[in-house]
Amino acid sequence: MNKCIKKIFVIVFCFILGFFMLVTLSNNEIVSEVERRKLTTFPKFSLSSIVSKKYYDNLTSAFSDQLAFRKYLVKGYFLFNFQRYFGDAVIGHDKQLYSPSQSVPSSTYYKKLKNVINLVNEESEKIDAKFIFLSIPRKDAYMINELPKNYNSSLDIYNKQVKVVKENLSNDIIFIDALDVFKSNNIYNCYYSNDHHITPRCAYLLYNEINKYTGTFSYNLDDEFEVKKTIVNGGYSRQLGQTIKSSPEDLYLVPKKSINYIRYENDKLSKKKVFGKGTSYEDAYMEGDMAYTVIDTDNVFGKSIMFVGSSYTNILEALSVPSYRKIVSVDYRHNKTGKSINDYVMENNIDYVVFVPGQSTNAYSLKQIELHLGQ
Amino acid sequence: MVFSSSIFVFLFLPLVLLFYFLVPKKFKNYVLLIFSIIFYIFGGPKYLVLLLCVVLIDYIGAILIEKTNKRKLFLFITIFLNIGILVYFKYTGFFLNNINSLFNLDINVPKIVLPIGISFYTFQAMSYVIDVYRKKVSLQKNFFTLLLYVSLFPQLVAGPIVRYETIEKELKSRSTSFDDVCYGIERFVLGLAKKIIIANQMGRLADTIFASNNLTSPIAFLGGLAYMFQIYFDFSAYSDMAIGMGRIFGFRFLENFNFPYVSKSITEFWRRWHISLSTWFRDYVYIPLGGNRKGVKRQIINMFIVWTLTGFWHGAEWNFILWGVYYFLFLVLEKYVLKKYLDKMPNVASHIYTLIIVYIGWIIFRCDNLNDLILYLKSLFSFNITSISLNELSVYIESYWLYFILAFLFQTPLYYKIIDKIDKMKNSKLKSCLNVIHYLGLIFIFIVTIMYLAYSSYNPFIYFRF
Repeated sequence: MNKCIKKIFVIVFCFILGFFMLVTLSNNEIVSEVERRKLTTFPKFSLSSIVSKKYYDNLTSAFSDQLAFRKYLVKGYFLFNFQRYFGDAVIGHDKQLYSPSQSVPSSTYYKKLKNVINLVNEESEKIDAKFIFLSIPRKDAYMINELPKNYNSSLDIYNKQVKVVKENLSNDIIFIDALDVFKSNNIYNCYYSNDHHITPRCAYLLYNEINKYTGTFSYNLDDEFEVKKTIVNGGYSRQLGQTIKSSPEDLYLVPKKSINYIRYENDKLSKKKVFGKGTSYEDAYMEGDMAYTVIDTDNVFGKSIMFVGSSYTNILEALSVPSYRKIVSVDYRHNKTGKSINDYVMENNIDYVVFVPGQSTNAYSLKQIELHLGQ
Repeated sequence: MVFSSSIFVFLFLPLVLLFYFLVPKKFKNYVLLIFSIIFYIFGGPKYLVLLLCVVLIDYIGAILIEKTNKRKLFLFITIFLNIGILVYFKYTGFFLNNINSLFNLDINVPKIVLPIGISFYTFQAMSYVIDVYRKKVSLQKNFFTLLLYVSLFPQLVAGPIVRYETIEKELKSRSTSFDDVCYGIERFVLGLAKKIIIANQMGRLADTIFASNNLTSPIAFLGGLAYMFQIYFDFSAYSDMAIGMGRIFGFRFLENFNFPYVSKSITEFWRRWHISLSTWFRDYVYIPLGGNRKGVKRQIINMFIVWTLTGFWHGAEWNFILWGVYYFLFLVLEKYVLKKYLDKMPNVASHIYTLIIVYIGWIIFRCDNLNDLILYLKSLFSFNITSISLNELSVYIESYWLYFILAFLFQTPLYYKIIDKIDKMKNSKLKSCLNVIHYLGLIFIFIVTIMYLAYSSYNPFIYFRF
């Protein structure tokens, strides 16, 4: 009897190994819809690849990405950890959604971060405009009261990253930590409940902070705009098909007096709105992410400012329209012209460049910083 | 390639098992050798050349020791070359950096990548040559068999440091019984689970806490505890998997860990922790230096040398040397002062004493530099307990309680005692019933481990359109 039990155990174990091997090798998924990223596929074998470590690294990575039943196994993991699983969103307390917790970067990451910050320094030296580095933490580094169970805030990691950035950033670059700004203004709900973007009131605090360095007068938000509340259809909830309904939150801005501006998209006149009316973040500001936007206002004595970054800059661009002469936005995720930050600075006679590195799973993704440097 | 990767568990392992059990007995060593080389290539093809060089040096060295009259000279040359290779790859940066800062020089420090497993395989290879010199083992005339001994993938990159004499006979001829395969799989599954479920989660917590700047005492304590479990479960899990796979292939590697956290003295702790390394240093450094045969003074010097080297073996940083010296002090203290008190102490008290020393030892081990170490110890002993810190502690405990419970349970011999009791049961019906639960439990653990393994590659990209 006992021998029989052992035999079954050995057979089941070998079956699992063999079955997983065959299914994994037959997988060739290119994209993970849930993770919204490209998966590593099995590298092509050639004689020259045998001596290349890259080949083995790719093979290892591909085997992880193509692992049989990976989707279901990951769901099982969430279940085992008492977390509800919704693709790339994790539900916290009070219906707050978060992206999955950030993994702790390795020690080599910080060395690489130093190198990437040196690239920022080099880029800033090339341009004839004041460079401002605006750092925005992940939601789970700031709104920590509603974190899901078994979920680590990335606050400590963020602080360490900021420390490395500050230590290595050139003295000529102005560094603004959004976390400090939010904290010092005692506003807690800075992020949408089902999205990773910041709300207009918290973005306004950053706008104010930037103006301190650019010497630009800040209007009072409620004097200039009516901040409209609505149920925000955030990035996470859209994936879930609005499974998590939030309460109305501040979303879009309605100017109280008319603001004159001319907008160009990729050097062509555009009728797109700066202040939208919708339920999602991309409806509300700039009508979404644009590769290259120039907004000329009638504020002839104002300064010119350029935002380099991702969707996080959209609200800042909109808020800047009443105060600046020229607002330029470059999003290198979509901008494939090959032009550098300096090219745009020269073309538009820019006074200030606000650099906002985007987030991936990491507040300081090295790839994203490099990407937003146009590299 | 690491044991806890998908590619190892679901590609490499099934293939090596398949080929190993399919081929006739005389080809089994070649199958293991080929797969061991493939395994090593994943860490960087160019380092395979280094591995081959080390084996070649020891192969020729052993022949010269055996066949010529200048045994001592060739032993010295072979050991010198082995240590030279290890020092060059592992310690060049450390020495040059320290020379630069000590003498205010600007010597260029070359970037030398540490080849995987070099600390383990050079020690294994040296043990073979020394044992040939001591005539404890016979000369291995077949280069490929020696290469297999050094490169055998289960113990190649993280030990245990298997002595040639342990597997000398098995390299020539061995057989695997069905019970060996079953036992090997059980050890492998438990090792994999210990690594992926317990060690990695504890590591996540420890990394988070050690990365923090302003720690309060309770959080610092928790970070140290998490690291204490991480290092044990990480390392012992690797040994479990190595021993398990070795058993499947018919090798009986000696145990490397024997539940060290149940020790009641530091001396006992070191008899239970990384046994293959401590016995290596005992047999190849401490005893040749004279051990305890040349008086107290000399013994203390010998212990100092051995423990400094033990620390240094773990890494080319001062904290590892400090960690070695720290243990030297406690071992000397125990030997000459504390032993009589420890013997009289209640078990609980001596156990707590040991855990405290070991705990602080791991903090020394974990902190990269002296500043970090001082800050961490300050946080730990500041007894700064605020309501916020207790709140933070409860958040961590809420997240990690399951892993702490698992860690507490599996750092004791409880599991093996239960299995042993089941085996010795006379009531065959109850025994079968418990055996079914036992093996079903192992399958369940394996599946949960695969879930964790899959999750490790789960990398959502929140930065797509927005």
